Amino acid sequence: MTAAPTPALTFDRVSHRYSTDTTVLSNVSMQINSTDFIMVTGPSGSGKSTFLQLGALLEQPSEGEVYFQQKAVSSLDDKTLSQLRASRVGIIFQAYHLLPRYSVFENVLFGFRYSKTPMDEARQLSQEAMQLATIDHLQNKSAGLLSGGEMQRVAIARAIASRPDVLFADEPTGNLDRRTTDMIMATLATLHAAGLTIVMATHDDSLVPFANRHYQLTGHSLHRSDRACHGV
Amino acid sequence: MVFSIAQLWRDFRLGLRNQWFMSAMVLVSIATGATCCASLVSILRGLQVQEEAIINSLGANVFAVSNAAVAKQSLLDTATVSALRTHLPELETSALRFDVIDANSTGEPLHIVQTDSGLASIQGWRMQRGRFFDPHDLTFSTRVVVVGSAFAEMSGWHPGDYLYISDLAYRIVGVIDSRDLQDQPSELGNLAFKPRTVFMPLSLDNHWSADITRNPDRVDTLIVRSKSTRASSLMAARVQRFLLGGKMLNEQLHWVTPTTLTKGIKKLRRVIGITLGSLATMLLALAATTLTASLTSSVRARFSEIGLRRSLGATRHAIAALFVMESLLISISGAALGITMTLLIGKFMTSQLGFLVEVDRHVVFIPLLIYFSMGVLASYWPAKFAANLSPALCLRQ
Ligand SMILES: Nc1ncnc2c1ncn2[C@@H]1O[C@H](COP(=O)(O)OP(=O)(O)OP(=O)(O)O)[C@@H](O)[C@H]1O
Ligand SMILES: [Mg+2]
Repeated sequence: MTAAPTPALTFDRVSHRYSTDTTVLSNVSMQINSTDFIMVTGPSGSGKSTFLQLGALLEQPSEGEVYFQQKAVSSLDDKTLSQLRASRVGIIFQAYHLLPRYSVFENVLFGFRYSKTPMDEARQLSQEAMQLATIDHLQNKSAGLLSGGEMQRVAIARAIASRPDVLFADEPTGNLDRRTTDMIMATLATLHAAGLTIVMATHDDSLVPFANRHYQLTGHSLHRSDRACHGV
Repeated sequence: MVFSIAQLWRDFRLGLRNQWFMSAMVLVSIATGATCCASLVSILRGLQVQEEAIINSLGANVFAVSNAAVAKQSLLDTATVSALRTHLPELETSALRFDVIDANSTGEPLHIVQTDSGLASIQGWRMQRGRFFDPHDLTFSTRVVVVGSAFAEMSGWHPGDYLYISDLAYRIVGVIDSRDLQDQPSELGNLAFKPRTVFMPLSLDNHWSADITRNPDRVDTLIVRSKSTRASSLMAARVQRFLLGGKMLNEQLHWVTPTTLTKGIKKLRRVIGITLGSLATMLLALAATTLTASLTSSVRARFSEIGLRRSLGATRHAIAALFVMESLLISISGAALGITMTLLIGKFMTSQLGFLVEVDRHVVFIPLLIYFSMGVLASYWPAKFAANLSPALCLRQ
């Protein structure tokens, strides 16, 4: 089966700097297809989160163009971008960004706050996502009272609940033990197999084999790594 | 998830929980400002209603001119009045002459008002029974009188009965509904008729008076009615010009017009308007500043949440709306609190202190509108600030 894969995300000579003297990314070009599971590794401060934020439509690059599902991001207005974020993009944040006073279930459900999904369906999808992230037993607990690993899994559940096209995962296993890490990675692999495009940043090199392509971020640029990845 | 009030309410609570103490303080400051604003409205409305009542007591489009107390002798007289009538026929005029008899038996004085047949219609009096005296009575100087119903009841009089003044009999021809004579404001002077008053034709000679030096043709007060409010002041000026064109000086005349009647109350309105008004304005400015400050700190405290919302698909407008809604909910509930306070205070003031404040829809809607606008204005900068934050930056918190 060799159907041409559709491009999910394209970086075209993208550079990004936060101020004139802090260049984070420089002249990055790459294409991510809808069938991809991309792993980005690099030392702390190398710009992994920045790379994900550019892809997840949260930031516009200083130079170059990002194409999301073949649409030039710089040409989209706030409303269209917001709709894409609500319906096509899922993000697992490195810092979780949970609402501490909401329960686990409410946090997951909050993922639908700006989507057009009907309430009943949103509740149903949230339940399923919590099961996948194995946190359904915590659903009534206040998110502020959870352990780091539990928070991480709530963030995962929230990101995948709305069934996005592309999932951006920023250190999704950063706070998990080996066993939970394996479980989460297995879940991501399942979702990927079911058609989800995944772009994941990590500094845990042992997770690289889960992806089908691996990039290393060094010296502001992205290098395709030859390390063994499983094929698709 | 579709838009719902419940969702908005949850968003609001989420914001409130971050800094409920601050919001409570802001609420108190808004409620204080709104109380001041609502009280101002209710006091000013109360004075306005009072002012209207005073103007109405004189009669619509009516003014009066009397001999000033300082004048040594009566300068208005029947001849002047007839000349005025010929000169300005479009006006309804009525001449009045006042007298008091110290009744020896009852110990209470009897007030006599001699006038012409037009007074009842100028004053808009309703006759309870009988009639007011007519031009015929004046021409033939018939000894007839008209009294107020309260006086008639008190004395057991009916139309057709006779009443004796200095041994001369006067036939009672009519009884005026006393409600039209009662509760006249003191600003009206001698036009605030006493209960024990009899009205009789101007042409009758005042035989009861021992003072033979007094001019029998004298007129104490002239009441004039013009056709419209606008014409009223114009007519007053014309009458003044006519009277002064003769032999009189303005100091010798005392004018009672809607303007002179409401001079005191207008001044009071102005004083209250300026003092309480500037206080209300300062409190409004204070409430707006505290609200803006609290909203700004709310935005700062919610960076992570703003970033999260943006990443979940909130537009800039949705983020701005979050803070505008928060601002409006606080300002409107503060205003509602203040208005409720004012209504309670107003109720207490009117019932316990007899102080006239008007509690009507203006007291509710004017402060509500002002504080609604304040809420919108106060949230402008914080909401704009929040909406323009970079999502990526917020998510780094
Ligand atoms: N808003 C910003 N303003 C200025 N500098 C920033 C900003 N955001 C990120 N940076 C800088 O950009 C660089 C890349 O940051 P980024 O968070 O992308 O790194 P990272 O690879 O995700 O690091 P980590 O592995 O620690 O998460 C860092 O040096 C950081 O200090
Ligand atoms: Mg990072």
